[in-house]
Amino acid sequence: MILGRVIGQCWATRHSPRLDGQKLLLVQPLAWYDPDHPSDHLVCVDPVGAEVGQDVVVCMGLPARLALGDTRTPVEASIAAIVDGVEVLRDAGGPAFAFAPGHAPESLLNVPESASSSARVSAGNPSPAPARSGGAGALT
Amino acid sequence: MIRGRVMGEVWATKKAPRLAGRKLLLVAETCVTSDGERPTGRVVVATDLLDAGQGDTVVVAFGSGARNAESPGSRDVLVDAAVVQVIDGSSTPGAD
Amino acid sequence: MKLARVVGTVWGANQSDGMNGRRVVEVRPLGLAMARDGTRFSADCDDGHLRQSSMLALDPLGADVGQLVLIGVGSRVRDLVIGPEATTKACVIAIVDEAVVEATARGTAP
Repeated sequence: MILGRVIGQCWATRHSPRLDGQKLLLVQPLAWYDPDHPSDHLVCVDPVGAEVGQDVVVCMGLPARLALGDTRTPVEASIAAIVDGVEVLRDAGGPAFAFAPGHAPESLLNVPESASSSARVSAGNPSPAPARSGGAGALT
Repeated sequence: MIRGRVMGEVWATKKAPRLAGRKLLLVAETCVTSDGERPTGRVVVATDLLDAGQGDTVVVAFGSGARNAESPGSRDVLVDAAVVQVIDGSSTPGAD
Repeated sequence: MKLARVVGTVWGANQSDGMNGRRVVEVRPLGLAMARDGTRFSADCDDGHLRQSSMLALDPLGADVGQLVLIGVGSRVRDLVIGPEATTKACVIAIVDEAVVEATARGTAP
């Protein structure tokens, strides 16, 4: 899985029948693992109900198809979870582990190594951006 | 499989049902050279059944290997990366 | 499948059941950037042929550090070589004696 931010939505009038009813979100990976397919964006189906501006966990490959309940769906990325909080131990592995500028999760909490577990309060997701006018956007 | 270091934890209340109840870790891939262990810049979200702690060096498996860690032979868990081993030691030159 | 050199072994008692105490090796895949016609890859080949990135694989064959191995990646390979329950997709499927590059676009080494 990877961490990403929903930055937009996709609409497609002509699409595979197996994509009927699916909402397609445009996701910018914040922390990306895929040596084979370096890319700065992903289109994901969204069975969970994420909104633009939220940070999400994206699942790739076969499990992404499972999320839709049918492994024959022509899909390779789906939203698996909406992130409430991300806690990173500030000293874990040194400064090189920091997120790239502009690519830190909204709810990132840097916890100093000495901090107790009482500091585990998630900052929460930002309020979602206003929905694009023109309906819910699910494929029909 | 890759070698990585646990850099943090991800919390999510709203999850797909097939991911429910799983602990999610943020793991940074690392590369060991004679100069020591350094991050490659790639980061993956992996499920964790082994209770790995922040700062631990771990082995992360992908795809069907990761699903096997969650539930052997299963095709219906929503997991594509999982921590499968916490590394105690390594003979690779440059590793701790 | 890809060629790689074993650079170390990795161990840890806290592991998934599917690991089942199996040997884990750290390998660095070969890159062909420096290869010319006639370049021979074997256990003692130049470190410059190895890629910077490393990966981990289960090793049912017991390859030694320094040896050149063939790494198979995928669930089919894993099912056949180790077993369907193993928590990996990468495993050592052969210990390679020698591999020779015979026709690159770059021609023969000077």
